[in-house]
Amino acid sequence: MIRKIVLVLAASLLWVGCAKKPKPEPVVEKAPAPVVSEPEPTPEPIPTGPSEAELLARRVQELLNQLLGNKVYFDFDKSEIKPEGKEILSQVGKILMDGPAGQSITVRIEGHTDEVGTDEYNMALGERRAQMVMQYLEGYGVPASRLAIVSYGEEQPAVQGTDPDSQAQNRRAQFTASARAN
Amino acid sequence: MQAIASAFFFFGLFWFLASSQVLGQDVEIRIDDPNDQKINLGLIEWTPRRAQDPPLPIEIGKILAADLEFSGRAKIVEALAWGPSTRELFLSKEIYAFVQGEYIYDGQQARVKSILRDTETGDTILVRNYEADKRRLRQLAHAFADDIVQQLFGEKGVAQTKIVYITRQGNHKQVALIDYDGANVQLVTQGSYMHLFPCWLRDNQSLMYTSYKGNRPQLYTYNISNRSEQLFIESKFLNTGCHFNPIDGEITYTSSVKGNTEIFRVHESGSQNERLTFSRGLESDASWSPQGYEIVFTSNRSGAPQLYIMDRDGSNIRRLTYEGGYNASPSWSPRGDKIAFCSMNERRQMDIFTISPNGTQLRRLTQSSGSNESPSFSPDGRSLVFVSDRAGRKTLYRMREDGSKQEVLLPKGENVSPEWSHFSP
Repeated sequence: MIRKIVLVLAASLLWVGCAKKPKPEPVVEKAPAPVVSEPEPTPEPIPTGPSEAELLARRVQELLNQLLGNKVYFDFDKSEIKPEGKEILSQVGKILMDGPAGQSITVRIEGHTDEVGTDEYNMALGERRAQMVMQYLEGYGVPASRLAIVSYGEEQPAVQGTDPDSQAQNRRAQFTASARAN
Repeated sequence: MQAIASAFFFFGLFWFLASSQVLGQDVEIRIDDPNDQKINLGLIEWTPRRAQDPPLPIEIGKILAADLEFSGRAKIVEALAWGPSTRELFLSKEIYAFVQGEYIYDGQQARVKSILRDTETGDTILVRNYEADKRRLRQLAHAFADDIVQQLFGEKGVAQTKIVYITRQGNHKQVALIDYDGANVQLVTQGSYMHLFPCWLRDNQSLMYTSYKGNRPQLYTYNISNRSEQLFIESKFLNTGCHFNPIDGEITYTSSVKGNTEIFRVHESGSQNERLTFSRGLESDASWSPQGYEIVFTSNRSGAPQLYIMDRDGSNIRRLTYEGGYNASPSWSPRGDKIAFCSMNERRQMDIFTISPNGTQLRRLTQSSGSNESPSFSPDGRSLVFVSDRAGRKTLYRMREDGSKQEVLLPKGENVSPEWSHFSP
């Protein structure tokens, strides 16, 4: 996996290097320009492999994207995590515990509900769902200091629609993630 | 005189009142059931004192008529002008009093005289002189409607009240205000974040609502007159769902304790914060009883959301609803005798019901008309504002407390979470 990333990186850096080559200018006879002291053009650094920090940052970005693809779904008016949800949360836990890269990620867990039921109760239910997810991740070993929860109740559906399938997709917890500076 | 008065009493309330005025007494007549007999009231549209003055930009009489008809207390019969034939007409229709008025322009101001008269004698029962900017004439009509209700029924009218609600503006939800009759939309909040669940505070000039301004739902207060917003309680946790009690201004709200929502009570200054519920279930949507002794709220401690009542200190919790598997969003009538709430029906849509605080007299107010949510009583307890999606998008509707006269209040836009203000100060 890592090797693949390095390859991709090397290829992309090569491409960047090519792109930065100055285009050959058409040869035009010019009168000798008046002597003006121009700043010496700084020589471009010779492309080398990506630094440790760059690699880490790329790895973090990749993990973030993986993380954001995960959603935990709930039954109507329930906040218990189902077996499929536990599998997903184990993967999320792995991502967050993955060496220095995963551990530099902080996560906000969003709890959502479908549009069925009342707005205020759904706000409470969304909070509870987010909390259940947080508890599971804490159980997996992710320190609480890297986790936060927020409820959106029924305010931000993943999909529009009032059919049972849309509702099932909206009853969810999902993640917004960011990399810590240190 | 006495004999005539008693003979006319049931039909001629106005006549009776006119007589009372002569005796210099205040009359209090309480009509508790809006289905009770209505009073017939004549109306003659306001006329210019100087013939050359242009018509007013609004018809005061029409607004007044709508106010009084909505109050459920009066049936309005309009006539074109006052004269002997109108008097006969009114009396033949058992209209023992009528309203009329005149106005005179004074620059941008209009000076308006509004009069309630006894039909038979022409005596003045009530007269009010108002002066208002031409753009504020609706308020003036509402004020006279409330004066009439106060004079004739000894009760405060709701014609000058407002409703706070949430309106969708593009991708964001903002707090807005309207007059109780749906006129005069006023946007309160701005900003590219979500606002939810507004409520009025005791002074009737301030609001509280949930805002995601700080990236998580927190309670903010907002002063309408100076347009200032302030974070109410600094907290790391969810704070939402406020409701104040009109007696001492204390506020209930929902806050999460380790992800589990509970009901809290706090002084309007933000001090004396006290947790009231200690259950493993979810608690939300607290609403005060009108005297501030009790609090009704939603809890799923039984496994599904149901209504419970507790004393103001969190003690003496008793379950209120048993029918149906999902009951929530209670609003206690300011009269104290009933609690409106919504209940999920077999199509997983909500309908509005009322129940008495002792759990009897369950009554269904909406049926087979989309999903109906978020009931909030008018301050006189005679009407409710609520949200329905019966015509497509969710917006505000109103109805009588018995479910009759359901009508759209705000036809445009997507609007939710209404709360009716207290009486105007």
